[in-house]
Amino acid sequence: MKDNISQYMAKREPYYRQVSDEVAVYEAAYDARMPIMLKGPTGCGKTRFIEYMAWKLKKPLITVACNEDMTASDLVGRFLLDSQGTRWQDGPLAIAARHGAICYLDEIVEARQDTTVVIHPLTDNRRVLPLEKTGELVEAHPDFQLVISYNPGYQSVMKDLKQSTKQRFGALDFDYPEQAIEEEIVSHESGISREDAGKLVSIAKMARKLKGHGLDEGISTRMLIYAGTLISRGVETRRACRVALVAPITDDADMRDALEAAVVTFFGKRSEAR
Amino acid sequence: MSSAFHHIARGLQRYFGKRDKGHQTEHRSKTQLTEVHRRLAIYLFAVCGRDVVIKTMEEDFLHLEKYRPYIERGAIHLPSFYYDLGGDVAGIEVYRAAAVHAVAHLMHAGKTFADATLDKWQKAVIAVIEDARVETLLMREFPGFLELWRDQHTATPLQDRSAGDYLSRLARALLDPSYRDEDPWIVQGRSLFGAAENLETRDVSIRIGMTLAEEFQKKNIRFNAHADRLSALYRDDSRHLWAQQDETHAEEMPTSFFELKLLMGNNEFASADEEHKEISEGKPGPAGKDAYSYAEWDYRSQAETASWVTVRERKPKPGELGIVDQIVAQNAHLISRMEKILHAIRYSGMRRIRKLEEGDEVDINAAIRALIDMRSGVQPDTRIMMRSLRKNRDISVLVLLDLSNSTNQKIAGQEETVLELTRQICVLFADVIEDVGDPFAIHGFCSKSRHNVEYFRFKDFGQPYDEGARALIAGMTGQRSTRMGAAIRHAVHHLDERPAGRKLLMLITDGAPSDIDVRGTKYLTYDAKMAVKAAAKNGIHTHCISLDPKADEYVSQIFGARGYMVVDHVRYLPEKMLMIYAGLTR
Repeated sequence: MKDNISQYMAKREPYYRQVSDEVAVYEAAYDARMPIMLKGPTGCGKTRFIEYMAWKLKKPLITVACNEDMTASDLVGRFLLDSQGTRWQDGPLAIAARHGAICYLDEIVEARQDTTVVIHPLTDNRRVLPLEKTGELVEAHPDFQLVISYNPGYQSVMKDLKQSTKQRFGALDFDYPEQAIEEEIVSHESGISREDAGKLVSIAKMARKLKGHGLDEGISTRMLIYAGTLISRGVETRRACRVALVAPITDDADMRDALEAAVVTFFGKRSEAR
Repeated sequence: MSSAFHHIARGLQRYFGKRDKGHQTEHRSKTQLTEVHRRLAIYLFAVCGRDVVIKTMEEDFLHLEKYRPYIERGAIHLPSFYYDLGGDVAGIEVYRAAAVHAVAHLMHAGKTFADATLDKWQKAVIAVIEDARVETLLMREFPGFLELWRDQHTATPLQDRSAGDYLSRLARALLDPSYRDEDPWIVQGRSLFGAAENLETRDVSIRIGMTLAEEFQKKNIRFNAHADRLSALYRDDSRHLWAQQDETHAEEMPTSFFELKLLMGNNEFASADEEHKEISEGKPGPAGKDAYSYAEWDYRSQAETASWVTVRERKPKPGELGIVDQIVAQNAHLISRMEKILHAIRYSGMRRIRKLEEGDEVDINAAIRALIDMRSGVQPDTRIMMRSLRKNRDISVLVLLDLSNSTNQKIAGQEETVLELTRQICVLFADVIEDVGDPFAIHGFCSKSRHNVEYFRFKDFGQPYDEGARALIAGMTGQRSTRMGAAIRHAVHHLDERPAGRKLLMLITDGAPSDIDVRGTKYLTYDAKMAVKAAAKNGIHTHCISLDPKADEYVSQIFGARGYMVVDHVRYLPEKMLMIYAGLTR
């Protein structure tokens, strides 16, 4: 059945470029099975990091993308109907707890607050998951660890984690890497030259200064990789930047113009022969 | 005299000459600064990471040579328009080149030069070197600016008549490595500049500039400070480099708020400490638990001035209750329509979403149907779950009324005064919202200097909308001025105390912010804008109902393009209300 845990094992090594000591710190935290929270703007590598760590530790990784319609039973499990009657189906959190996987709740603030409290008993020294509907008390497998990600930026104060939730986690801060490292990442992931990757990163740096001054969020590393991928597939550079960097993040005509000027600043006005 | 005439004639000649060459028949297209102002501002912010003030300069059409940007007191002054140059250089490109060049100066400025001993020629050469210095520094970070600036230089080795020609060639040579020029003076300039080790300070510009100025004497060409300008339009006139040349020296852009206060030194900008004292000592008006002090935003220093405004809560006087009853009676049809609209868009209580494959609970009817199907050997419908959605209207509304003196005037083309219209809107609002059941409050404000922003609470959240509250609404009067930012901050303070999930601050006003101790509207407009921003941070949605049909410009500045609406007659209110509420409960 779906409970087959091996499907959650990474098949090959995901690319991850270490920025500082985050790998060592995470390994220590995993050693203690301490719940971890990854904080940082969108597209800066949080999800990739946890995929890489799961691969490195050789543990299955169960990822849940949280949304505002998510209920507690979406995490824990529910009764389903079949021809014999009802049947209990474990949710992703229960599967992870039973089989000793790393459970990664992506964008946890998007979930309703009553949903997030179900993780509480798993994240303190009890390490249990009570299944209210079946009356079962699942004791977490020794390998089980809970990781959540959290973007403190664009959400308003209305959407924040409760203190009681926050204080159960250790937190690793993520941000866009420094110029040279980000160049390396963009170049590696998209296959463009180091020089072009450098230009993309410089454009992003200009745009990131505008965060809070007309932009809700700066241009992320992920967007740069998209732009680089388009370029390496033969799309003309400025066109690729417009498609992948400028158009997605703003609808404000003046802001677009300024961003496109930033693109021209680094890639030039005239198209180069490639 | 004759030289001045010559100069004008040359300017005209160059102007029309260019025009004929470029576009012989059609009118030359141009780009206005007003069209591109915001784009430039955003772009510059992206370049240097801070707000740069861009101002329009007054241009002089006859003296095209004077048509140059300049930097003064930290602000960039640009011409009101640029013609599109030939080729693919549009006017916006010239603007961008000029603005970025000026920012290069601002970012890499040093102390101003003491120029007592320099003559005009030396200054001109030093300015060219200084331009090259700041451009080179900025290009280290942004190599793409080379292309932006290079396109604006048109000097060639063939131009060798005037000192201005040589300056333009030198400017081009220092910027553009691909430009070829064999003139010994230019070659020397290039090699001196290329050999300079430390470009971080201005000393290098003086040193190279003095040498080159001296060397130029060999050419035996006279320099005319008025005629011999650089041909690249985007270069500023370098006036900011020289210390004593402007007499406005003492008024230089204050860099910190403290300087600003020292400079102004008058009653408008008394020190914030004093203000604290005033509050604690109870001067000049009665203070105590009803006085609140708030910060105010100063756009000139781009900083908040702490404890700058004092808001005092006053008891409003009751008026004739009949006024309110009359309004209700006259607008009964409107009230019933608004109620209908509001009832239609609100939904509270539980809603069940049925026919779900995955839900929270079993929908018993569907389950039985599925079981019957199974028993009778038919494929059952597996969507037997349901989910309950709780939608509660958890919204608090605070209506904030502008009660300044201007509300006593009649609305253009109508019989009623602004205050009467405000009161009507307010009564209709209260009546409808009371019926719908959302908690609401009605407050009002007027101001007399920053020490005395008066704030009236006609109806509070917890208080019933009874005869007492209605009498207070009936009794509202308009006097004094409109210090909007402080009032918004105080209203936010009241809303903050509400537990509600959604909070709405609705401001009804007739005019731009103003007060007796502030000249112009800009300062208070910016402050109000910041207050609205701060409210948004606290999760409070601010909406403005403007009763001034011509208010669009400043109102949109304060509340954002979608944060306001203009209502000049009560009968338009229902539709507008619908828009606000629908937007909020979406």
